[in-house]
Amino acid sequence: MNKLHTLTVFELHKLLKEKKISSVEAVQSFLERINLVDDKIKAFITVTPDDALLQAKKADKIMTESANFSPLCGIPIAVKDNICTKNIKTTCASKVLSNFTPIYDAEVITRLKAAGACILGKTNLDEFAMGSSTENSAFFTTKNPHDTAKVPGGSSGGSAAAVAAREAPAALGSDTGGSVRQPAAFTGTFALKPTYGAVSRFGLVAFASSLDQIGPITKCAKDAALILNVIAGFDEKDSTSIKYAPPDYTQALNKSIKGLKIGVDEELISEGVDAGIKNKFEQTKNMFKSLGAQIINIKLSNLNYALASYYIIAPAQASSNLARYDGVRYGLREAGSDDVTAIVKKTRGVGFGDEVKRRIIIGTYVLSAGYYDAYYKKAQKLRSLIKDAYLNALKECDLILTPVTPTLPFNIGEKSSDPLKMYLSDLYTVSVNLAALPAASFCCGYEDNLPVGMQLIGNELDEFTILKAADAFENSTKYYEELEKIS
Amino acid sequence: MTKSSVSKEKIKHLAHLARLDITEEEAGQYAEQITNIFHFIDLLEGADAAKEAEKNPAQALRLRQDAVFASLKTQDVLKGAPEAENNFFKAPRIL
Repeated sequence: MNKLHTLTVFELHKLLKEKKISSVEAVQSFLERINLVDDKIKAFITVTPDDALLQAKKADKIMTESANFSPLCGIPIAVKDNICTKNIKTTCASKVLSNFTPIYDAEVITRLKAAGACILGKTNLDEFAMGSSTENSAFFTTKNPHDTAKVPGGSSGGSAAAVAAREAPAALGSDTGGSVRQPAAFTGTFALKPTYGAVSRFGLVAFASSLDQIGPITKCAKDAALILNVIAGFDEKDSTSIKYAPPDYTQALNKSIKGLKIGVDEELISEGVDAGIKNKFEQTKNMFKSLGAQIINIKLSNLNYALASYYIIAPAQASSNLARYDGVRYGLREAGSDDVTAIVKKTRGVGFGDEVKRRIIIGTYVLSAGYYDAYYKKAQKLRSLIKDAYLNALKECDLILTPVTPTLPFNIGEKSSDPLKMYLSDLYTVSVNLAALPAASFCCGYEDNLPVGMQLIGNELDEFTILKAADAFENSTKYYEELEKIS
Repeated sequence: MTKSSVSKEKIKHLAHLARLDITEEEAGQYAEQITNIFHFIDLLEGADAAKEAEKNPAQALRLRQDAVFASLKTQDVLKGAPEAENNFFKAPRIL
């Protein structure tokens, strides 16, 4: 087997442009890799070899006929299974949609296909993107390629594991409370959650409509810039899409970060954080300093309030968004009764897993009469204050640095029976979704042979500076090369 | 705010409102787990939200023109229907 599956998107594009390889060869290489390792990793729910090869042949034709083509032309990509792909099963890792086939592509898929990318398949996730470990999938749990006894993180665990195990050079995930950043941190990959509204949500199965965003998961910041160039930008079909002119994100790469101001709130790192994470946080600050950046002390708001607000707002919005799964127009319908209420209750009772049901119940509670003001309305007010705290801090600095997770990747089964314990691990990520700001997770090293991620949070629509800083860090440290050690 | 536990009866009522069948066992389990979650959420009582921003944190929603355009084809849409008849979704009788 050739080594094409070990290359980054940038490297593959170079070989394709120089006509040293074809897209068909590249896609075949990744399909072979999936055949070899996915029984062990279980990153994919659906692999689409025929479609991928057809798209590869089309891409090869485009590249023969023209010298001008997108850097994503002929590149294989994996897609999280809550993003609609026309004629390809999109299950959201739920029994309720186990046989659902969309009749349209999500906007991000339309854009990837227009660029000539080849969809390798659909990756595993926590059911309806609700979870932090991919253990809530109705079908199976994905393993962390670094240590298969550990979780890959969630909810985009399948996408992150696929990239780490080199089953795909890049993947799409979605992030509502950390779901691309946390799995990237747990798998030693790179992920970016764009500013809310920067990437179209059309065709992303809705979980929490004011928090969801699609983002790339890649080996490095350079590849994420290539993907962002294709998927970012206004979409008429998404009423929350921002009208703005995205820059060429590749202009952020290979630049000096001398004088860049990186804000740090040391108080956030005091309690409940593993020594290994604290250690890496210090090392990361020092690395940025050695690259010429300035570390500035800032004050952020109480993250626990953000976490509590998130676990009111997200379930509330989920309870509304998941009301559509009633067995009438698509998805599972359980038989056995003439009574409509009984059929709907049975369908949803059988079709949804525990975590989804818990969140729907919590959401229903906080939106109900007598509780709406005390919970949902208050959480939304706090949201404004959380956003203001970030924007104020970002007046003093260009980026904010925090850990992504308080712990190293945990064992499969370790937190799955205690939902609150699982929620507490989202401490560093949820506030960014509440503030609608962009943030990325980049690999800052390894502790006990497990990857550690750090988070860079940027100003509204400033994915450019995040990519610049992460790329500069990666150019000096090259931690993504550690992924080669995964057999 | 909830200082006391979220009872099993409350869970069953909420499940009914959300049209979810849950077993006795699930009701008991969820009652305990959701009580713990609400004990955490209740720390919001200590948060001062009095100084709320006037503006809505979400942007103003953009509405599209009220113009007719080609929509999804009926036969495509019905492909995913659990039951269909004569170009309609077949659903349980409501009234």
